[in-house]
Amino acid sequence: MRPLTGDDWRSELQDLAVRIGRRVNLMEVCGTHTVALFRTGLRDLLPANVRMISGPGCPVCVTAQRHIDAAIRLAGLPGVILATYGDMLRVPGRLGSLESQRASGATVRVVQSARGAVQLARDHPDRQVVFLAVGFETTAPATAVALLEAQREGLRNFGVLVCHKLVVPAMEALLADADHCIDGFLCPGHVSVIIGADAYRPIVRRHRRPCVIAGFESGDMARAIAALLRQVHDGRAALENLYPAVVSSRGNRAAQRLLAEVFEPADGPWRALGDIPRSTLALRPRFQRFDAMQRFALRLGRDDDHPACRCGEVIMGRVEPDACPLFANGCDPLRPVGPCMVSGEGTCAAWFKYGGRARPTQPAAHGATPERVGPGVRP
Amino acid sequence: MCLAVPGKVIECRGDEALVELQGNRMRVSTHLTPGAAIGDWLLIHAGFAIARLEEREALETWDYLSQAFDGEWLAEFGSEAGKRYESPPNSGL
Ligand code: SF4
Repeated sequence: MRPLTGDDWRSELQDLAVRIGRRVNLMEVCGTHTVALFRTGLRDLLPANVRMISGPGCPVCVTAQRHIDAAIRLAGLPGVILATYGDMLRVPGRLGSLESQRASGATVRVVQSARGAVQLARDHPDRQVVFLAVGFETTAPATAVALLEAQREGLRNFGVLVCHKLVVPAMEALLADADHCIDGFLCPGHVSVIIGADAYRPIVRRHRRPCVIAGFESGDMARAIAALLRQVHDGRAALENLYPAVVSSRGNRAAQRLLAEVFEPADGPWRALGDIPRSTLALRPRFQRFDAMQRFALRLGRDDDHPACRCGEVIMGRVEPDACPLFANGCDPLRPVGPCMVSGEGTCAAWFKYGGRARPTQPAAHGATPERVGPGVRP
Repeated sequence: MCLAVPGKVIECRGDEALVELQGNRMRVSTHLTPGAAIGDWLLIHAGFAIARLEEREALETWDYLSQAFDGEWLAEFGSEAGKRYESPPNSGL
């Protein structure tokens, strides 16, 4: 079922937006959606009262500063090779970045896959290889496979700094904030491949917020936004999977089994959002010997984010990037101050590159309004 | 960095497959898609196949990726994959 094209969906969106008659805030949770909404031009074609908020779905942006600092410290230890996905190189910590650490002599290697990091450990038995494991459920199974491989081979020189995050607990944390302004979620396509559509049921049931899963094609995203508006208009909160070609109800079971074998959910820090209960992955006891922090007897420090950086509020959808005094005025992709400006999928970077649409006012805060999402809810 | 792109399997061995991504060849793990076979289309993320998909969906995905992203991300994904993926020793692939 290919989507409506051109004017069809535009008029449908307009019609729904007019009928709703108030500002609607929809959050795209995934950084890839953020970029796709800009690049396809869809963001600018939306009705004026429909606002897309970029959520905490860019793994680079949500990695806590204390984790970046830990990675930088690990990279600086003698004999250590720090292996990382390329996106993390320029994220600023208190102590500089991995890139600056590399410039001052540390060995920082970019890998495309967690298994690439294991291979580095095999190739360099005289060095300690530490893999900076970031990413959501899409990426974490790869780390699980790498750890299982390292364990099977008895590799003693492979360690991991685990910074994996879970999407649904973060969405729930946003909704638990009394001031949130989120009317519905455009749910991430590729995270959903792993966790399955059913993972969003708590959002729909408990928090009464519509969840629609979509791919990244403009028509698919437009259809998903129309589906969200329809639910908002009808005062419903339901789960709709508009990406069934790759997202099933229960997700990728093999990946889930691997995750459960190696990791367990734990409370953990998000950049600028603080600790969120059961929102990160921690190594199960039998894998703890791979914990790089333990191996090198390091402890996580404290975050010390730039006082003017509003990444936290940007990630929560409270403000748009141009509300930050540093936006394009001391913070840009070449000299990022906050992580939202580093990653190509970061909200600030996307705004800088594609230009955000001017908005008349800041989003009006409104919490859950039971009369709007009432007894007719069919999760 | 959550982008996943489709690739077609041209060789399989154990938990690995050699896939073709728009002319680039890349070795990926099939731990998450057990039973992947030659000719299958897989959705690939960070060196791992995360799902199988139909050819029609795969081709449409390539279409919109190249349109919406000017091939920018694809070029990076494919060429870096080819260049930088550290291949396991003695893998006959
Ligand atoms: S513009 Fe820079 S400093 Fe301001 S919120 Fe975005 S990343 Fe932070």
